[in-house]
Amino acid sequence: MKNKSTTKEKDTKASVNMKGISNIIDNTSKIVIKAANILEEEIAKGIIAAKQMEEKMTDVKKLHSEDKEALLMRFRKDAHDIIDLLVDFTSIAVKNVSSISSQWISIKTESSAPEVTQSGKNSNIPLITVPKELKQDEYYEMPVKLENESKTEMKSIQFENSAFSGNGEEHLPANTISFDPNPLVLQPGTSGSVILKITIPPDAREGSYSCLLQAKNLNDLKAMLILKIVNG
Amino acid sequence: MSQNDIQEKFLNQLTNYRELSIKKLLEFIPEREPKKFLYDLVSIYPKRAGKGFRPSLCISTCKIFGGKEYEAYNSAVALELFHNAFLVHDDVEDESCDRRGYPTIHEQYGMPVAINVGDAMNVLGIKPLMKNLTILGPKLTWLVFSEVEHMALEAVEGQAMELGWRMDNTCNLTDEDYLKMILKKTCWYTVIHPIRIGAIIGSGGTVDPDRFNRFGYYMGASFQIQDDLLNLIGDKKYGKEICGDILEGKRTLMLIHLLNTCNGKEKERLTRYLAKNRADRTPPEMKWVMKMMDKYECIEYGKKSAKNLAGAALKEFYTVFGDRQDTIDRQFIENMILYMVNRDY
Repeated sequence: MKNKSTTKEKDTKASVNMKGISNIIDNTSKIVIKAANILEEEIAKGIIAAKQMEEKMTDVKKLHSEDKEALLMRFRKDAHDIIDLLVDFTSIAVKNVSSISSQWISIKTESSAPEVTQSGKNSNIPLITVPKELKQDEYYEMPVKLENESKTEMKSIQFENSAFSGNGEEHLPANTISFDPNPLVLQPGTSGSVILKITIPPDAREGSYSCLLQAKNLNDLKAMLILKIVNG
Repeated sequence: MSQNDIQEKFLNQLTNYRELSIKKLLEFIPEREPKKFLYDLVSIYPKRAGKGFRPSLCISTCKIFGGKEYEAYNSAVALELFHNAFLVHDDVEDESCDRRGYPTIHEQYGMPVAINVGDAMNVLGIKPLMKNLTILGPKLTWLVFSEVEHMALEAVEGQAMELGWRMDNTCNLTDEDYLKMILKKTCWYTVIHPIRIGAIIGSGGTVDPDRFNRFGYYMGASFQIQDDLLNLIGDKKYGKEICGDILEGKRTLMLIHLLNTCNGKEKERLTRYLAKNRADRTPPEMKWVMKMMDKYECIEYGKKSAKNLAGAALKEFYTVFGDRQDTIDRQFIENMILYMVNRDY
């Protein structure tokens, strides 16, 4: 593969808590498991979209300047009551920006680590953001640290991932990433790293992409990986 | 309590909420011209015997979380109006002939009128959401409004997925594709959002609505699969033409299962059948598809999947509603799932 640049960021390790890792799903119906995975993937996508929307909405703060407020007041006076309600919705939207922000809770504090955020109180899907923008045909390695909190049970984690979805119709195949080692074996009470090996396809389009990472054999070990591709 | 008691209790409560929400909905239809080709037609679908799941779930969840019944009326009406608007347009897009036992609006009045009636219902759905402002205040009104925005967007995206499959004659679908499509097209707006909205209103915005997502998805998916099964094996009281989904080439879980289990020759024939326009699909071909579904136990597969999902919904119900008082409304939702778990066809 041409123009490969390898970046091994040994210091940048994302911790993913493995609490609940022992919930093996042998007895659950396959259709229910499939549904659970799809829901988590869709919700995580929605959270990403909400974050992007939040960034856009931040610009609406400009509306809060005194002149704009006066303009709105004048507009309210002259306009139909439906318009008045819509203006109210706009001002409520601005006020709600802060409450949307509060749903993003960092669970990783190491300064050099890739960004890992909790996606919401009940969805429990950590978000792992690749810390640099990648170019077409670029190769990148990112270690992710996992801890086995069980004091008695050894864990063998077999990783798999979905294809990447972009903002629009863009997709990246699932084999854009691979895991090393796979499976990752963790003794009781120990931690270890799996390296995410990312190879951006040469024909990939610019944009943000996300995919679901999960352990094939463990119900609760899931994360969304987010990466950004820029034109090289 | 026997299965019959559960069913009777659930259906009675469902009827009460449905009739209440229709009465409230009719208050939002303007008493003015043009009536013949608009406002008289707007009330046709709501007046027909729909199930009324959405308003019932919204109102009952509101009460379960401490709200007063009237606080959920506007949102329940809006849900029902958006739902009926979606049905009018859905029937046009699917070229369906019957809805709730009678001809679809476009069959009776033609496409242009039907599309306009659907548009009107969408517009009328905004009014009750605006009225929320005086009852719920700006914060809750905004939260409900945001829920409805997400619900409507997901539904049209799901519809686009399904239409795309038919337009492209996509025949390599998986269960996951189907589950994703119905999450978007059906589950958000049939179960998840009505419950989320009810809980937001009832709790005054203090409950995290995300807690209901999984429960609502399992329940909605089970409901959709059962609805599709009834289309294949139900009787006329179901209200849509029996096997209409096969005529429409609708990608149900059962059809996808058939596509993935039949042999190469059969798949070729099935793919050719699905490539045809609805009008060109003949009754003998439809019977052949049904025979194939029998051969590959697609109906059984659908029934089992629906039951498993309903069972998972029941388990989730005890997680998300477990800390709530055992009221009539809590029992109503529990009975709704039990009714689905034990449903006979």
